[in-house]
Amino acid sequence: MDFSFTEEQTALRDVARRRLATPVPPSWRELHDLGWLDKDLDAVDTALLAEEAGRAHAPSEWLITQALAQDACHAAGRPLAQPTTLAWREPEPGPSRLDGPLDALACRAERAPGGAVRLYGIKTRVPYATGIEVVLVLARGADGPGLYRLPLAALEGEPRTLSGVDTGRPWLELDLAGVPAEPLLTGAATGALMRRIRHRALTLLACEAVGLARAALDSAVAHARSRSQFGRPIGAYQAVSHRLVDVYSDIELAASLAYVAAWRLNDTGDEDQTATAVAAATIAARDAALFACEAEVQTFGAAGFLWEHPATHRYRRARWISCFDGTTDEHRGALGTAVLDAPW
Amino acid sequence: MDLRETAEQVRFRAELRAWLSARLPAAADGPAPVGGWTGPATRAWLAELHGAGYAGLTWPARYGGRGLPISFQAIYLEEAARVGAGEHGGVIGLGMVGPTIIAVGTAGQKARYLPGILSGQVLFCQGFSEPEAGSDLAAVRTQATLDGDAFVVTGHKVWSSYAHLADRCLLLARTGPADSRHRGLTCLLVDLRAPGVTVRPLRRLPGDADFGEIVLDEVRVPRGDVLGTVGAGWSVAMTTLAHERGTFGFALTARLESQLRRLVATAHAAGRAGDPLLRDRIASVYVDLLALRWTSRRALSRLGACEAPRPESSIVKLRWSQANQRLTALALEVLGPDAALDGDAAYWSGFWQYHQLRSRANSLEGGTSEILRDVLAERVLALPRAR
Repeated sequence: MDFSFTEEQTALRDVARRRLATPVPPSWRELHDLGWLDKDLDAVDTALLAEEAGRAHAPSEWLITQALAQDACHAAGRPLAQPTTLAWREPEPGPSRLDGPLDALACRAERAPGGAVRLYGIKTRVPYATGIEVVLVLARGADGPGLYRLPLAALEGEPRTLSGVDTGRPWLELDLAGVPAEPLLTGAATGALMRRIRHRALTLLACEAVGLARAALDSAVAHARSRSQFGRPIGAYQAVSHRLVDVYSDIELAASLAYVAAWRLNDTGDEDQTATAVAAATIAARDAALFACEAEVQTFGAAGFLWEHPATHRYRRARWISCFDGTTDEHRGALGTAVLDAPW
Repeated sequence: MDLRETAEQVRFRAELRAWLSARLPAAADGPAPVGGWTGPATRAWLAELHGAGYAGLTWPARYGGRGLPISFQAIYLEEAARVGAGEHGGVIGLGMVGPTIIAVGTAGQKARYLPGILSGQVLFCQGFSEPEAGSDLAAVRTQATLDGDAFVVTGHKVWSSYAHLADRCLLLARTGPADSRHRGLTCLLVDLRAPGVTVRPLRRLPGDADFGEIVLDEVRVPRGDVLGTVGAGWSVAMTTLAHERGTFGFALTARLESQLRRLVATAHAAGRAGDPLLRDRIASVYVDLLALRWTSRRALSRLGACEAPRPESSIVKLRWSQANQRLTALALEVLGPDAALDGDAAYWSGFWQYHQLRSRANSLEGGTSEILRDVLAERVLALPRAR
């Protein structure tokens, strides 16, 4: 048993932290050169990068690509060449979650005789960020559900955008209307692939939430050391310091769970064990991030409540993460069922 | 990073589990006996452990231990908790006093005490807290005055676990001036059978009396029983407490896991397993359990071999106490109106009533939650001192 990171992993993390601390975020080209899109990054490596992205409040196209497109591209033998998102959700009564139900899928992929594959139907709540160029669309084709690669530029006109609680992460709504697309992966393995994507997306978002929480704590602690009221730094008051200790404890516990979940992703053996680890990490990391951001706002007082303050945007991102593919209560309910019903 | 146990660890766990289950009935999801071990039962169990090579796993081989890494002690604590054998009067000697003697004791003290601690012939307790020195341990008043070849000790120690079973006490006494705080303290290995020592049990909120008070009235303690040097008692006491907090996390987490298994069994027995509200709250406790387990292991990987744990490890104690209090209160809610019964009239003979009431000490013993938060605020977050 060894719960420590390799030297390569700490080096990867430290370089990422330093690079992301500079004012201009790395371009897609630079991310490529930094190795953040390499196909031999394992899930723990990627988890550490996601944590740093969360800490730095980095632009989202890398995280969305890694969370939602990496598994499919890897399975299809494609590099992560362009910033890519995934369209799985449909209006009622279509599938809402990454893991289905697939039999509710209404979007269709049809091949014209001798021609291209064209997509039909409506996709909603597609995670988006500036820079995203490609959408992988979940649709039903001749041999069942599959994933189809659609460059956004192929759509006629601009897709409709829904504002997000995280201003850096709006949502797309796609009316496919017969747009041509390229089959990426189709057939019976799609269900298992979608479950794997779900585990990876939830885990990387948990890691991002941990990093975001660490940034909120660091910022609140720095303020509590320097801000004086009634003649003392406010961090000397236990009402302030003890809350920050509780935030710190939440973060350390959530980080342990997030790393375990990432490590389990590398091992495709036991899906139930992976599901448990992912659910625990998701619940703990979301709650830690919300608590950390709320404590940051509280520590800064009214100054932390201003739109210009970084606390505002961290908190909004934590809110975005906290309802991704199932509310935290839904994850908790599923985990409780597993604990009560299955031997463990 | 590889979260699987090594082949050696897997083998150790399997052998230990087989050995334990041959001696103790598996209590994995049934009630374990409530209340304390008697002195003879504690000594007999320690002798069995010693005979099988499970006492002093991390102690160096030259002191009768097995010289194994802490991870093996963690496995031992987990397996012992599974069968309800985790908590008994021997743990103070094996886990705290013994390692402190190994760290700072003289050759004579090592030869005299370590074999008895391993075999169960010498049971130790700890005499730190006093009526006027609880969280503020540097306020200790028990006075030790040198008189020829012995210290004469007078004072009053309280909240000493298993004092009624113990032969000896690791006592923190004042050898400096009354206002010398942590600089004027000395640790003594006191014979509890010596003239002038009175040990009285203190009955606790759950009704048991597993700890007591020690009154010392001009007790003569030979100079040779000073542990460490005169005046260095504070750092010796901190060594002891660090050992308490080091692997203790594994014992606590393992006990929490056993209790959660029992809670699940109780929920099924009470017909409440389908209740969505209960599922939600059980999931929360399960997340706490996994988080504590993996955080202990992560801390262990950072720690390396047998160093004192860093202040970060306080979060395991802090959060375990909350989780155990929540879990046991949840068990009483599952019992519903029957939670008002106790003893033989109650489900599992009052197992949950005992453990819920007992859990209120979790946020007091081994450092109150308030003190742990102060320590974390100052030493980890580097916030300004509150006091």
